[in-house]
Amino acid sequence: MKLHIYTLALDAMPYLAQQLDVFEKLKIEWHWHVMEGVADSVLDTSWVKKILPRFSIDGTSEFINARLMEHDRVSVYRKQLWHGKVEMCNAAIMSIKEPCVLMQVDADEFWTPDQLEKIVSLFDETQYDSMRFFCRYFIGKEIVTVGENSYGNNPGEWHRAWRFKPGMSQEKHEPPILAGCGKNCMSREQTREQGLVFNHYAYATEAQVAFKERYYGYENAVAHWRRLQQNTAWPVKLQEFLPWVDVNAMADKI
Amino acid sequence: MITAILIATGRLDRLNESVASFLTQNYSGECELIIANTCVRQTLKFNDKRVKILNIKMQALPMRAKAIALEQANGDTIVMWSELDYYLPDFLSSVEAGISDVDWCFFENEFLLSGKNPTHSKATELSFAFKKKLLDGVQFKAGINGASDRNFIAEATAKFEGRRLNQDSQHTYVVRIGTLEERERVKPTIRSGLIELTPFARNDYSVLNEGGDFSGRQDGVCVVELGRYGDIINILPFLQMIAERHGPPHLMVSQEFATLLEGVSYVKPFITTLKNEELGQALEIARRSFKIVINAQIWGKGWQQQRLTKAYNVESWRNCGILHLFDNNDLLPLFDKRDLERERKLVDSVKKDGRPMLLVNVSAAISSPCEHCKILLEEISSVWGSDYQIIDLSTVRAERLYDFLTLFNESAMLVCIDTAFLHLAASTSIPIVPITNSKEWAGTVVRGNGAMPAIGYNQVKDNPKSIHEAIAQGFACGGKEMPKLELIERVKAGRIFHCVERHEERDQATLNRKLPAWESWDVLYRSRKLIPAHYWKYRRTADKEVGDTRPLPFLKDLFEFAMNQMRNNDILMWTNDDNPIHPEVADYIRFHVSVYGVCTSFRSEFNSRMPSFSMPPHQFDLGSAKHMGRDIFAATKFWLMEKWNEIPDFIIGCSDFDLCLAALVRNQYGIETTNRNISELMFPAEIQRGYVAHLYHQSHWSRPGYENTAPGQKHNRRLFREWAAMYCPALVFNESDTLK
Repeated sequence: MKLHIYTLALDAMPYLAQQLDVFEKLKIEWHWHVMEGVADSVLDTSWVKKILPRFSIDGTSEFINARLMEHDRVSVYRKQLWHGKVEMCNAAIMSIKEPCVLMQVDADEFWTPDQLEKIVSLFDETQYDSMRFFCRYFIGKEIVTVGENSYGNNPGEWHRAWRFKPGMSQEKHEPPILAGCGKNCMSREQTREQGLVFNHYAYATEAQVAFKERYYGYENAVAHWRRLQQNTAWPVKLQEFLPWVDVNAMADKI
Repeated sequence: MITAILIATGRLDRLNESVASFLTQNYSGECELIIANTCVRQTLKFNDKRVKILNIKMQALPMRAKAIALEQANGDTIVMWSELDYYLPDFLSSVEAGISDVDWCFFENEFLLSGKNPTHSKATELSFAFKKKLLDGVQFKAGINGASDRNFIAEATAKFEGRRLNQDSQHTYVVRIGTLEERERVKPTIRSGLIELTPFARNDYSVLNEGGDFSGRQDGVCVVELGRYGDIINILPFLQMIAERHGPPHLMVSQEFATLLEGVSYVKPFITTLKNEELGQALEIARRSFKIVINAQIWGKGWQQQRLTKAYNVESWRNCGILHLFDNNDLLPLFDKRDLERERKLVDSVKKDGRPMLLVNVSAAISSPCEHCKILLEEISSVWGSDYQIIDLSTVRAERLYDFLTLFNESAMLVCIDTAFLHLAASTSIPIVPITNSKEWAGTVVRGNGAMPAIGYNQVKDNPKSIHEAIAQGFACGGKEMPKLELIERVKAGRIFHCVERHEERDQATLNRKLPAWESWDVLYRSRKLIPAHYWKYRRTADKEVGDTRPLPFLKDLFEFAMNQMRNNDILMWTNDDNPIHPEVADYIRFHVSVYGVCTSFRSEFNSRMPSFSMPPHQFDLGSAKHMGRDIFAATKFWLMEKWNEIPDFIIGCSDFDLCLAALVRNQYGIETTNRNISELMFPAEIQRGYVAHLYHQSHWSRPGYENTAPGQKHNRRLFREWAAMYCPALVFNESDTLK
């Protein structure tokens, strides 16, 4: 089956460019759908702060103009203000006219080409309707969360791949629910056995943290994050540095 | 399997469209359409295994017909399929996906198409789908005007689990055609007996989901020139320009003159039964049919034509926006679909001996007849007849006017009064002695390399023998070398970058004014007709560079930011950050910049609410106030690079830079800007109003204490004055560098 990937992009540099490098190494058929713009804080993401309508201001727009707009394997969908992330995702999802493997790959979520090819082959070889995954959740350049049922890898997270048929649509974005898709989900433990754990650079750079401080309303997130970067004794209870995480969350240096 | 149930009531046109929408579904699974025909006088027939027709030969209520159809249904999923409406190709596959794990589903949104205006509307009973097993627990009961369906839906949704689809309205698959009142007006067709269905969609409804236009107007360009022949030949170079630079245009032409277009490959005839004098009606039809309409015609019943040039045919070029090219003898009428065999036969039929041919037409003319010119034939024969075979063109008949071209090319000279031959001869090398109407503006200015100075009708009247001197001069000059006339495949304009300065907006009132503008841009960004080039991080600012109080960006920095992302043939389209733009602006700018090169646009200024962009630009502009500010500037990167050093280093957010750009653009077209005409629309330097709008507010730069004293203001005005001194000396400034 062909692989269709969709990615929401707002101030997504440098990751967006790196994603293209990964996808261009794929040996399977693929198509990447990139949706740029602000998602209005409505529906399941109504808790995030309002951002005025705009495109990216960190070079993402220019990268999209230069590299993606005319790329044969890329479709770009642009609005300065979308009616929530569900609308963004559905702009891409509903344009897919063939049965395929559908993946949500956020700009900061990195797979290797081999992993992506493996995911597609697993869908070809099994009857699973979707897949969940574990990730290495980066909260600094070389700092990751530790633990399987806490911040970074909570149960139910990282539902990222689906067996797609035309007509399906996203019902909810967080967590992603694809209406019409079956419920036979390959668990994250099973996918991990297949070597399918991705790198999630969620708070890897200060610019990302600053954006999330504004967007999610995490007070003083940048200051907290800087303190974490300066820490020297590992592992640590993450809540001592990032107050919005759960009490069980741990962080370690890799 | 999905079974769609359609209750037919004799509305055949709509039924055919509805069936077409079923047959074009992209659903890959099994599906069938059962048509329960309740119109007893019609026996429907259609040969397609997906469509089953039940001609119910008794008066049956829709509910009864539905029951009969349901009994025949093979699908485990049932969809009610409306006779009057249209289902987009993704409908059934969406139903299949939406209902897979539940017992019913329906779509939250539909398109409501009233006239040509599509709107989103909440769902009705049209899109309800259910599992057939529901019928064990819920029954259709009698009801009128859809009450039967609605009651069924209410009961089914209360008793069983289901799903509402497409809550975001972005992807809507049901097109409800007509309001309730409009639907009631759709009456059964008179036809009776055996009727074979002919499924056919009258419109391309798929554009509805692509944010496309549904006005029924075509994307192409239509030039209006109804005729006569000479007038059409006169503008062939313009039509060729459009074809080469943008794509083949349509030419709206009266049917009596349409055969001329069989000789050209680069024009699509849009033939009308209107007479050539019915210009007003023709323009109305053209504007209803095409998004871009250029009127080349300068005459018509009741038509008021500005006469700003020396002759009607020059005026036609002005209408087309190519007045500055009139003397360019590389732009000559091209007939590239000639029948050379037919032309040879014509030559053979008139050529009598070995003498060179001298072609004369001094009698046949309709628009500009010349009674006293007729004597010239005898006059010319008497002097030149021994050396030349004198051929009276008025007696020669050809199948097509352009069949004369070989004859012209093989003849020694053409002496001709004001007729289409004068225009046609411009595409050959034949020396031409034109005898033209002496009435002001009515005489043809003859184009082409072989044209000698014209003799006026009056001159012939006063001194018929003057013709001999003109002929002798013509022979002395001989035929000049012709440029190669051919259709050239030119590099087309590329992408359009919407180049706009952006900054954080903290004032809520300003934000409220700007939001509609940004929404209007999104329509074009989504359809990829515009590519955003939003300039947020200024390289230089007015506060640091010239000591202004505001950190305003510089125009050339903004342009450079966009140009760095562009290829040479891409188009830069600048607007301010508060300009709503018409959805058709991208198509128009692409056409205009491709064909002409560069433009600016006045804005349509509104004091409070703007009209809807669903109306065409010329109608959108009707209620607006006129404003001299230019709020669009568009050019290719190539043009900008060529002119880069001529563009002053203006500051955005201060005044006057737009006026300088307007004057710069006008120079391109040989239009001199004066204090008087700077606020007038001069096509093609300025495009028609209606493509860019603005909601009135007091400009920051015009506030007291700022306008004449702020460093940014003084900077821009000084630059404009200095630029004008060099490039536009007719502009007069006062001591504070403002236009008088």
